[in-house]
Amino acid sequence: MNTAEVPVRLTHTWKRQGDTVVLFSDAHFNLVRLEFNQIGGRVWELVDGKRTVEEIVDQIHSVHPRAHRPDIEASVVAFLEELRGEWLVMTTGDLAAYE
Amino acid sequence: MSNAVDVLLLTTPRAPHLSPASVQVSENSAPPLGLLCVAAALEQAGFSVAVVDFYQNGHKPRDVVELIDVLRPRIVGISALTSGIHMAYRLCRHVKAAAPHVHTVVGGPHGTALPEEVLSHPEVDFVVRGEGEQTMVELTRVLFSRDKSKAGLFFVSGISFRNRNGNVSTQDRAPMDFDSAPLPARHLVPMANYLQQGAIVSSRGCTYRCWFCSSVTFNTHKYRYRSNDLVMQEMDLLRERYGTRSFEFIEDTFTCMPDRILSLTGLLRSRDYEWSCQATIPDLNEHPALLPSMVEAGCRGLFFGIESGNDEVLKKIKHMSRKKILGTIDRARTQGVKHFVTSFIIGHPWDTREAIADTLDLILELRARGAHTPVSILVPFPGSPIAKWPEKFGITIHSVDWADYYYNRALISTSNLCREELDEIYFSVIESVVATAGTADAVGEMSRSRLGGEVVTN
Repeated sequence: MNTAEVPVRLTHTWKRQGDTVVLFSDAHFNLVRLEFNQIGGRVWELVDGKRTVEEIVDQIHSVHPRAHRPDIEASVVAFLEELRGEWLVMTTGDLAAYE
Repeated sequence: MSNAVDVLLLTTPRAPHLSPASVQVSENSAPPLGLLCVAAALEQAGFSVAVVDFYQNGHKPRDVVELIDVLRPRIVGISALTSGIHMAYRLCRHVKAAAPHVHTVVGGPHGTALPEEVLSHPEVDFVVRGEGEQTMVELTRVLFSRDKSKAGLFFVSGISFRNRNGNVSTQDRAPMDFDSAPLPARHLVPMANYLQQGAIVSSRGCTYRCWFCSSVTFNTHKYRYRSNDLVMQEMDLLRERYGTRSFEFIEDTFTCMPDRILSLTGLLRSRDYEWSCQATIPDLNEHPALLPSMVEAGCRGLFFGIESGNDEVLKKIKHMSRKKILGTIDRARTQGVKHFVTSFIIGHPWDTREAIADTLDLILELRARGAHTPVSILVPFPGSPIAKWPEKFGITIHSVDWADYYYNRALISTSNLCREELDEIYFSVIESVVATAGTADAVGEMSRSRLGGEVVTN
């Protein structure tokens, strides 16, 4: 996923529960429960269909300023790619194909 | 050899949130029988037809351009539910951009309920309201006629269109005699792609008057059915052509006319078929001979729209009670039914937190009996009583963005629960349901966490 791309959430059924985010996906017709840890949950919350990947990385970096930014970027991109593979996010570019 | 056809019929593309895997489960993989019935009627009338199932194939809207190029139809007809109507508009826009002379027709439940809204989209030329078989044949004849004025359109019942004076809606078409309708033109789609090759419709119409259901706007309350001989012929044909011995009756109320079913099961006893259907608890209770007869004739799966677990709400829906529901399911299990689907709705006009707690309680009881228990938040589909008269039910509808009309998001508030509360309650209900996933492996609901290092293990 290019850092200039804008990811969009595909499921509405999610909730912050303490430090984690719990969500249910029915992308594959069957209901699946997923639970993200603190950072994964924060990334999920930042995926609002407006922020670019780069802006999401900036937000995470601002909370963890001592972490190496390229490492954060690699982790966030890998996580978002995994979510994309699970049909939980798309990019606005992916969505354009449905127009 | 020319590939050209007179009419191209399409289902709507899948919405982005549905993955390719979503149609790789049997519950969601039936051929588009309604569209294939229309195709059969057109073929019978002498028109050449192609059917492309965009939903099943995962085609995107713009893929229609290539189809237009290859098939060169004069009419493109699209069947659309409310949740897919935005995709129908996109298809029509691509059609008009590629071939402005091609007539675009939208049929199905949404257009039937809201023809004026559909016609407000300039890319749609015609709306077919209600059953499409005869209407599409007559419409196609007029559009193919040499009469440039197309005055014949005014004599086609069940259509809406624009003319220079505004929108015109001809009179409603009376529900057809289902027995005289041709069998679905299954030869027009690659049947091997569908898991439910034995999907069959033996009746149309529903005798119930559920406030949340829009089906009657399309299929009406007039219950019509094929003769049992024809039903048997169709099942035998499916076995002969596609080798299936497993059938699913996909219709609103299979069991509402017990004599018909008792007679059909008498015929089915001589076959080695297994089948499933939608039944109602009152039908099976009021006619005790029905269930054993169905099981003896191969019924192995039952779908019930239970809707609630609260006795007060149940009484208002279908004169049911928890006791009757559990008793009927237990009886069916004992007699040999193997698979149960019992669906529920949260957000009935009378639902309270306590009533929904009863619903969850019943869901868990049914899951303990092996039932699959899909749950949805009430969706005010156009054409349903609740969408027509929300104030009568104390309902506020918050969205008419049809792309949102999906079962897992609250679009309404009731007099007892606001939209946010419904979302929150729905979340906790499905969390409790999925927590029992160990009892429901067979139906595929599961809990998993495998998204790399960012994920906490359950």
